[in-house]
Amino acid sequence: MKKSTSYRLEIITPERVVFNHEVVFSVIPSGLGPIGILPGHAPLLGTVINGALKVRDTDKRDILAFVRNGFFMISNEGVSIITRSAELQHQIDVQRATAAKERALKLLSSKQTGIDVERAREALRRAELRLKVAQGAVA
Amino acid sequence: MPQSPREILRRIRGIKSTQQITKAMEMVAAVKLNRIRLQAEQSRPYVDRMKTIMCALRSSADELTDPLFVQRPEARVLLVVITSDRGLCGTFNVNVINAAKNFIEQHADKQVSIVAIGRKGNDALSKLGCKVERFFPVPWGATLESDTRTISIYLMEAFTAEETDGVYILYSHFANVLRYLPTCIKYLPIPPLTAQERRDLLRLSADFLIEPSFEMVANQLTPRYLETSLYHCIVESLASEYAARMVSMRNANDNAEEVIRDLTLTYNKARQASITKELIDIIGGVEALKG
Repeated sequence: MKKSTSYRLEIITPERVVFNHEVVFSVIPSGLGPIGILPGHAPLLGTVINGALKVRDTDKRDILAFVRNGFFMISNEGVSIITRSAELQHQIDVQRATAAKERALKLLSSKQTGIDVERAREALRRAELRLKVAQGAVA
Repeated sequence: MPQSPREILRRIRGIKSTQQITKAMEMVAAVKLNRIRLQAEQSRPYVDRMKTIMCALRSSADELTDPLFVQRPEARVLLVVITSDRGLCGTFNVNVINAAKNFIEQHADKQVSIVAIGRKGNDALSKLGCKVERFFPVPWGATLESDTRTISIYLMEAFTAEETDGVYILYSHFANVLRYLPTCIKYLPIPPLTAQERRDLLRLSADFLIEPSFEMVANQLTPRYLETSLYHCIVESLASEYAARMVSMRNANDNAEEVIRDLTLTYNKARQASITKELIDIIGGVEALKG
């Protein structure tokens, strides 16, 4: 990335471009743990896992977002994140996430085995993360 | 055309009801076309970025060990033909099927099997005696993405299990409402970067680090990439299909209009003729009584 005080961060899903702004700092939930990105970062490719994305924009405002599994690319033109779905903090449907959480808990308590359990666990984790982001309760 | 006015009237009515159907079909196709175009437009940034990241990943690996990238001599080839499930869409299906025939002729030295997406292509190619390995209905609507995933997994497995040495996709590229070109792309193995792609990539960076490792990222990215590129082909094909149907239904509509106009004229003439005849009869009768 070129040296400057800010860089462009974009979050893209198949349905829409969720975020596309100049930012000064961001923390991405990468496959190797959260990584902080300042302007001038080296070109890097990697995976994104379900989690909270933290962004500080040029007006020094902090923005939170939930992202699902996907990929990120840091290049001269900024940071691109592609993921199956992503929502900014205020876009998260809390009701839906709560319902999903309950559904997953119910499935897990019914003591089935096999792929459904894995899926339910995955769904539970996602729902909890969504709720955390919605409440702004991210460390 | 010596027809009784009543018969002509019946034909007019029949054509009018056909016209209603074609009109409705035109409108439905127009709505569907708009929806799919919107969907294509919205997903374009995602598709483009996915491609860029794939290029970046490829350029950063010294040697490719992932089987999905390894080019091997092609003895058996799988051709995926995307057509439509339903007809009444002009030359849309015929064009694709002809392109498939050409492909088979060009690859006569290889064993070409077909995977048909769309009933029309399946029917036509089976009739021609091609070996249709598998048939899928065209994914659309709410299950578009999940059905696309199923198909791309099937293709990937066929390739990795070495049931085939190369997978090509033949689909209609949507240029505009009046132009859709049958286009053939190589799907598997993923072809090497072109010079243009390399140039584009240099603008982003000469060399990317990959975390955690090439294999790890490739394992996750490649299936998604393949899914996305198949999705792109299917959406293009759907847009072409709806556009073709819209145009051919509009033509049918215009035709019906013309036929109705002609028939109405004939009907009026016939009616006038019968009135004139009756008048002559009456006048003749009166003259005879007078006499």
